[in-house]
Amino acid sequence: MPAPNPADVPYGTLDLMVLKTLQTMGRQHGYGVARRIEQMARGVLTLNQGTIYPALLRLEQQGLIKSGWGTSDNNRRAKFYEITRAGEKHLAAESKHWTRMVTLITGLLDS
Amino acid sequence: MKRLRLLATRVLGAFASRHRDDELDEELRAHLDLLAEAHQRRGLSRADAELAARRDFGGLAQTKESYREQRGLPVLDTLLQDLRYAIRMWRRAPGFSLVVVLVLALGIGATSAIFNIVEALFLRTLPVADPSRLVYLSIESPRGSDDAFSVPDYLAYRDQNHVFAAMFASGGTMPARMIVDGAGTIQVESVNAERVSGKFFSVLGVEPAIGRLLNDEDDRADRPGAVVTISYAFWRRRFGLDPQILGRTLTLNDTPMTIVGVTPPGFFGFEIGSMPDLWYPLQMVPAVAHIDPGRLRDTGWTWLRLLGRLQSGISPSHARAEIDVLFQRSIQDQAGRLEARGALTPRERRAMVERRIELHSGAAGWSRFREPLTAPLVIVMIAVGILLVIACANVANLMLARAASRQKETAVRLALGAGRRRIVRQHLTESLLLAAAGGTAGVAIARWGAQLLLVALPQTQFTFDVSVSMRLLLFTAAVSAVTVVLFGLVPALRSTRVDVASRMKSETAGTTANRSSLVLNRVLVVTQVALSLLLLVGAGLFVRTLQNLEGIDTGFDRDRVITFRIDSGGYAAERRNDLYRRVLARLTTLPGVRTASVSSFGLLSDDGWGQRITIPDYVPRRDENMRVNGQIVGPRFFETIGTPLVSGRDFTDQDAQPRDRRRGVAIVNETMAHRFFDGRDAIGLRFGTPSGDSMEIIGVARDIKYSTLRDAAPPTFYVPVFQAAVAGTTFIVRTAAASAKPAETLRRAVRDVDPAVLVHAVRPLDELVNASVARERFVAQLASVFGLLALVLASTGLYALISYSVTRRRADIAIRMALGAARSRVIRMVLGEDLGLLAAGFAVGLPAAIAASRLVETLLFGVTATDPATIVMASAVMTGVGVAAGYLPARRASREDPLIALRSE
Repeated sequence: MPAPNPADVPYGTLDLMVLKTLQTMGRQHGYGVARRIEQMARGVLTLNQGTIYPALLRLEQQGLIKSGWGTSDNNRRAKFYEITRAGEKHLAAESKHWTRMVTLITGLLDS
Repeated sequence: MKRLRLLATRVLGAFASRHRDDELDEELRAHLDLLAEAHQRRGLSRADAELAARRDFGGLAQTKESYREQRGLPVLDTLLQDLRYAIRMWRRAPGFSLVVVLVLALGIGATSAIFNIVEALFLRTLPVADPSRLVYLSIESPRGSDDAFSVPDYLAYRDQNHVFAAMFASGGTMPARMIVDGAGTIQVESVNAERVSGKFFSVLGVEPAIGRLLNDEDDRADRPGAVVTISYAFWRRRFGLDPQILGRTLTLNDTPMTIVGVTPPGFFGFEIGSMPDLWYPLQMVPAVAHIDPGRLRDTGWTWLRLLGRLQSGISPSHARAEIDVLFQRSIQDQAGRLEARGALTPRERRAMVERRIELHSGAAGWSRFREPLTAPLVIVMIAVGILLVIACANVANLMLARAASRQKETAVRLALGAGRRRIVRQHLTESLLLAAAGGTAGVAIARWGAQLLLVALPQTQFTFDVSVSMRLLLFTAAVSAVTVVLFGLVPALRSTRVDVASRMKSETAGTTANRSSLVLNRVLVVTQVALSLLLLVGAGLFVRTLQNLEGIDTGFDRDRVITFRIDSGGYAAERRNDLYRRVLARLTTLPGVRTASVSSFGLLSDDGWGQRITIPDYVPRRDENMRVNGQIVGPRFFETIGTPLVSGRDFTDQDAQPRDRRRGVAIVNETMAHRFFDGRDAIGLRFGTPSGDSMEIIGVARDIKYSTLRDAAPPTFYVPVFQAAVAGTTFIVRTAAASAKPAETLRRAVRDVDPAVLVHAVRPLDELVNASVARERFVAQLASVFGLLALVLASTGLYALISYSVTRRRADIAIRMALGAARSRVIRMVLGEDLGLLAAGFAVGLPAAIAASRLVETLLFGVTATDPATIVMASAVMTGVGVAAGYLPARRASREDPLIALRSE
């Protein structure tokens, strides 16, 4: 069996990661979100930073996050995203669901 | 909910994408800058840091693409892209687009205009409660359909059926003389009054605007004091919406009636094309019309239309079966009674019993205009459909030519990897846009055209609403969509059939090598020629029909004769006869009037009085039809209309005195004299009627087209007015010279005699003759217009194709001329192609025209469907215009300097 390479982001999990990041970090621009996920996932996942933009748009279209233009720490115009109340609710539900799935899979794999 | 919101944002996202693209660009640039700065902080050079940032970020283009896909709907996106592209193409060739839109607008608009009338006349549902449950009754026989019933019929069906929730009878809308109370001076006006039974309003389910509507109580024979309901429009027009109107009295033909209510706005009853001003009960008809109330019990007086509202759960076929049982019972009774009196021949009996009841949906109301207008509308609809096909073929050719000129562009796109379907879709979008523009303009043409048609239609009193309806918009949209398929699909499919490599290499359209690709264009042009020929032949036949009818010998002199009618409704026979005598006397004293007379049925009114006659010493053949046409005319009738008497004399004032029924006098026409008094001089001979009249023939008159221009004069006898029971209503005046204002003079003359009667329909006899061929004129005019339009379209199509073909063969022609070919030879060559197309068009079009004109044979007069002169004429016109269309490009080609032509290749 070959040595484990950093995997691609599993389908459907990027949205959850972005949502969680925005919840813990608060209002944040795309670069900040991408860097945070990359730091957390270092060595486990390879992330093309560009892929978070369609994800951000998707979440915004669903009303889970909202966006607006603002100024970053170093005085640069950037688009900032923050989680909405609907997003918080969605994240809570999805987290619970995810934990249940993980418990199930772990249990199955361990048995 | 969430999904809906997602869809909404994505649909919105598809628009204003340029602004959004800019925003995304800025956001991504900021991201890359931040990333690069981070790398720089870790010690990389500016250039390396930027490179590293791009690496971390991943594919920028892919990100943008997937972002865009997420943002909008890809299908909508490409559609918008196609539309933008199509609009760009429009701007590049505005002339082309304008021509296409105009041609389409014309085709679509003309079709929609006809549909507009068809819709108003046949399809629009009545503005009443639940119209789908309404049905009307008719009697069907092998001779046709009849929807008139007698009062006893109505009462029998009303009282004995178990299938209708309720039913009503209507005696139709008739003009009546009305005088409103309270006016100082007598002011007579003519109103349209509908005679209805008590359940009329409740069956239709309408609520009054004010007051109440007529009910069964109002329609009882023994009810004291008549009441009337007026229409909202009449309330507004005549009484200015006066709320005090209830309880006021108006006098209809001398019968006072109290106004009890007003119908809601927009309500007109169930008859499409008629707008009654008021409604009064059937039981009042004898009083208003001054007829014997016993007539209401007459089974022979069929004047009612019957409508019913089906009970819920009862199907129309079930209802029909039950009413038919009642109907069969009544005609058996009738036949039995007549047979007992010996007044029924076996043939008449057969004709009587082979009839049956039919029910028709009353959802769209009933109209007396439907039957006479069906044939003209069908013809016009077919002509318009053909015109639309020609227009589409024309546009298709233009599109093909343009697709050919864009072949290189298409080849480049295909080479760059564009999908074939994508390109076809692109072309179809362009067609769709053109059709949509054409359709929009078409709606305007439809509205305007329908109004124009209404004026031209051979009926004068239309009160149709031809405003743009939803159904019309849908129809226009559907027609536009059909045109896209007709003119856009084939060129679109053709456009991708390109050999990419050779197309991109060759700079110009090339020489004769790919002439084969014009096959489709040729087919389209040939189609146009063939269809145009069809319309031209049709137009020719209808124009000939009209000419024949207009040029026909009517048997009377229509110049300087004026006719008018007097409405003295309500006058008893004695008073009326006295009035007529005094009016006639007054008329002859007017300056410029030569003679004046009167007749009971107006000339060309298509009205008459069928009368069975008996002749002493004449033994009828078995089953011989002894029914002849009777006309009631005044003294000097033949002198006034300018018809010579073959022998005998005209009626005099003495003839027009009331006299013993058994000692009457009559004038017969030549046909009657020939048929029944064969070879003998008819003067002094006698004939009679089964009811005991006997008349001596005092004159034989030349045959005239009394009722209609189309039919040969039937055997006819004339009896003097006042001798017969029915009196005349149409006055005829022959003047010495055309009077400037005949109507005013005549009106004043009648008012001098009696101010309480109405004069109407003052018209020169000449105009009456013209009006009687209004339907033929309508069809002939429209057919000519369509024929002309088709000719224009087909010849421009021909011209465009030949021009294009000449352009493609420029080099060919130049080489030939350089090698010494004469100009005439070049012209011959190009014209040869033109004539070939024309010949192919004729080969298809002539048989089609001959086959199609057989379908309209019954509408023709004095000309056969395969009239050689008409066909030759139409062919000559088509050939002349077609050759001219080919000659112009031919001459241009022959005048070109071969050197210049060759150099430009």
